[in-house]
Amino acid sequence: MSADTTAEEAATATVDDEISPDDGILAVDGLRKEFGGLVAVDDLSFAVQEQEILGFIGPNGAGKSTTFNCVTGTYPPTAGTVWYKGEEVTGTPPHEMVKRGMARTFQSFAPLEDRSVLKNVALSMMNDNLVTMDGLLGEFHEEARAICERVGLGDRLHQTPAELPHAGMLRLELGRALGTDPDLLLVDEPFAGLSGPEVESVSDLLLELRDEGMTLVVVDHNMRGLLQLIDRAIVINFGSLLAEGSPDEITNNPEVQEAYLGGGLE
Amino acid sequence: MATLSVALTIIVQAAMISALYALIAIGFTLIFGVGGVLNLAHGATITMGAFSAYYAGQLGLGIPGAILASVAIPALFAGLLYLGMVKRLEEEPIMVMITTLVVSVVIEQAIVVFEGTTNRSLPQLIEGQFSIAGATFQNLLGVMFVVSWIIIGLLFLFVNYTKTGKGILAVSMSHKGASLVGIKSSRINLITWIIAGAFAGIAGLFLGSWLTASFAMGQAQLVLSFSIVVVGGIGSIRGSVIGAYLIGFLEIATTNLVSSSLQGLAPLVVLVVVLLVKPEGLFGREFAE
Amino acid sequence: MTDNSKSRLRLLLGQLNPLGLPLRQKIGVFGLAFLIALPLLVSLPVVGQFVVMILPASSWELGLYNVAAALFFAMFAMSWDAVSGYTGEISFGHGLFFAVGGYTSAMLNMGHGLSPWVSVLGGVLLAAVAGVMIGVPALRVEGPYLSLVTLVAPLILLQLFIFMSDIFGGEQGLSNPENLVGLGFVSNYFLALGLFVAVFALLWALTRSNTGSILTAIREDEDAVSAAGLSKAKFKIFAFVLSGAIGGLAGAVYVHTPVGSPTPSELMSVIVNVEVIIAAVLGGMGTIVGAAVGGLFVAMLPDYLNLVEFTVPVIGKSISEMSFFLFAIVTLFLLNIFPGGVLRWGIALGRRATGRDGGKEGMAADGGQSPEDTGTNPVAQTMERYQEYYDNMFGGDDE
Repeated sequence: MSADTTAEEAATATVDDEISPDDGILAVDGLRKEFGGLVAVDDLSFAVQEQEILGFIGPNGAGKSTTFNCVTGTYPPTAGTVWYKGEEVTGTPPHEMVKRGMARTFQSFAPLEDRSVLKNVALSMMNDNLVTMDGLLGEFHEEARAICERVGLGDRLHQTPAELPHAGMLRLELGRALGTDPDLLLVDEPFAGLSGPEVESVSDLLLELRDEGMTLVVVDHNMRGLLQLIDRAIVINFGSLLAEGSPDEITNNPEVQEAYLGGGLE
Repeated sequence: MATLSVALTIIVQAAMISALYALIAIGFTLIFGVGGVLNLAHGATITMGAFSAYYAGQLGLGIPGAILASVAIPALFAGLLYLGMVKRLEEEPIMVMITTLVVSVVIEQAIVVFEGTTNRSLPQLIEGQFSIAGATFQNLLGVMFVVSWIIIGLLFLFVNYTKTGKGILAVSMSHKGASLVGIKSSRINLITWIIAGAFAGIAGLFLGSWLTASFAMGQAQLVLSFSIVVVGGIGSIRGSVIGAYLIGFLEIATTNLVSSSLQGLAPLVVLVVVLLVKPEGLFGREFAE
Repeated sequence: MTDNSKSRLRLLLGQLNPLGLPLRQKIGVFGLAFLIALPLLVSLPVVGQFVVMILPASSWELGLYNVAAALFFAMFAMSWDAVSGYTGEISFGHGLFFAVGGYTSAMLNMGHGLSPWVSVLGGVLLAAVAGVMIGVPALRVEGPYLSLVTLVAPLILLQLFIFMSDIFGGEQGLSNPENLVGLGFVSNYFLALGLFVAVFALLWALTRSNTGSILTAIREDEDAVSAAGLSKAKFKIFAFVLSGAIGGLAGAVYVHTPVGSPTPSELMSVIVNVEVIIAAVLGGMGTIVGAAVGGLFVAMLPDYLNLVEFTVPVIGKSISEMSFFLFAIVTLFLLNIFPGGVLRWGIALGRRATGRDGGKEGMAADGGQSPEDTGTNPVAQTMERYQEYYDNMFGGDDE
């Protein structure tokens, strides 16, 4: 099954407003988040198909981060339902979501500054057990090392985050998320501040991950690196759904063009 | 008739002593609001003020000398404490807490060494009593009340109408924002600490005069200040005043009406409850790292 | 035990071979050996006199007594470090647990006739409950606010004590409960030492394992911990409960020896809260070892100062009268010079002295692994040895 067919099916499946739990690995129905008087997310509904790379696009302030904070459990939504792998998970705390297989990177890069890259990744691999003999003998280091190499930090294993360049920090974020062995990975604004070759390199990594069975949702406000990467896109603005479809479809969508200051999207 | 007189005594006493509590709490909350650190030596600063006045009296400098000493020495000390230790540790509030805690022990122990643990009497500021509706109170209390409110009033004017004062408000709201408009936060911090030290010193003078001076007199005050500041809201002068009256009344009422051995308990319980339910207090902001 | 854990245990025990340890650990083992041999040493003819001179006492019995008291305090300091040094939630009222453990145990023993061993258990349990009661608010309030809660908790307890002094014995405290091992100096000394070693071993193993990394991660960035799939609430409460239980254990056993008794001045002094923080911070927060060393030092320094009869000229007071004051000043001084604690400084110094400088000083706070695992410093060597053994045993494959 090619990625195109999946995207087409997805586009038709979500035309009707009703989202049901089985619509995808992640299904969100009527998500609403209010902060006092401010409505950040306004009855948003969408579904993420297994093994697709979904782009979540919108201008700054559109509510992308808020949506994902609600989905990943950072805070509960004011209203609406979130299903993951068919089960309702609305309001489940973040560490639970991670245990269920949903991982995320942080746009603002929050690594642990007091330890090396290797140990940062190793933390993600630790079990949620209080008393354990694990770790006394340096377990996990082999596996953590493998992940670091995977994300391109193989030669920086023992550096601290402070010593990493910007691209390295992003890779570390990916490494930490991968350490939790996720089925669904939410990547928050990865391409900001990356050079052309770095964008390509990260995109290749994400594609590899998808080919190995992972589902990816990539959030960004900038279309540049995103369009070649994603199978399908959801565009939101002012907290609600603006458009949905394949990259070509949304590029040619007049409302989307208008949202980005009327005109070309590159 | 007796109950009315008791109630009146309680109310008036609480009203007057709370003004002093407010003065102490304001210093504490300013330091926290402006610098983001808890100055655990604040209580010891009060003690320092009391003993400075005591020594001034011993040296024959009379009342004016005692007043001057009780203000100047703690203020100087507070400024030095800031410059010497706290400023270096501004990024680590924990170390500041620990350091100021140890400093308070040093001060108190120094007093134990030189004066022992007995209480000392300070030079009498004002003699005599006055009465309201049949209940009598010491003139000293009245003076305490008036002076405290005058100082609070002056502070209010200072903070709202002078450049430096407004700088204090600005830094207390946002360090970054303040520095962006050119306010030097280290200077503001220093001024804040000096003011807090001076206030603590005056409070020490009054407390020592009213009760007596002893090495541990600042400890109870420090704890009381915690409660007041948390209830009123960190960084809020208004909150400190209102909080001081709330806590002051609560404390006086509890010790007079329920049992004197419960001294200090009510403010503590209030503190814990507020921390758990609404940590920002009445007028404060969320503590943001 | 499965094959896997059997061989891991063997591996772990193999690593404990004293000859193969890095220098600083050798020093620790030596110190431990010294403590174990102490009662024997003081009874030897010539050596005994010399040893007694080192101890802060005028006789060997008093010396053992003081060291035993210091060991209890060191246990208490380690319990503080386990929560505050690791998770960064600074407890300013840790004496609470010591007091709860001590008083509960004393009251169970005397009021209800339970054997001292059972009473101690009761003391530990109640202290653990106290840990929960502090730990739960810790989830809701942060930083200095939490420290205020911890500062205030023992004050409230003290007030309750005074208020209900008929039950708790008020200022005088309760009379002495039964002793666990009788009145012998040596037997009580070994009780204290044995407990100290057990507590040390437990905390050391815990903090060097993943749990330690997770606790320090909580201090560093709580969101990162959640993002790693770990429940920060669970670990935070665990840290408080563990810390409370151990603090309570120290207090409970303490009152059942001649060294301590259930009085407010011994169990509930405001000063002990400060002292335990000083002990752990001076020694080095977040290392357990630092707290142990710092605890012993802080407990014995006043004893040493008390022995000094020298009178300071101008002031006209003797050193022993000023001991606590001097102690505070010395602490302030040391805090300024060694903000990371003496232990870290000592280790860095040792590395430089032996020419094995990894470049960066400073231990990563989960106890012994510096970020620079390259080069020839002892930490890196140990790490690589672990790695080799691990690879050899499991053929270097994953899972």
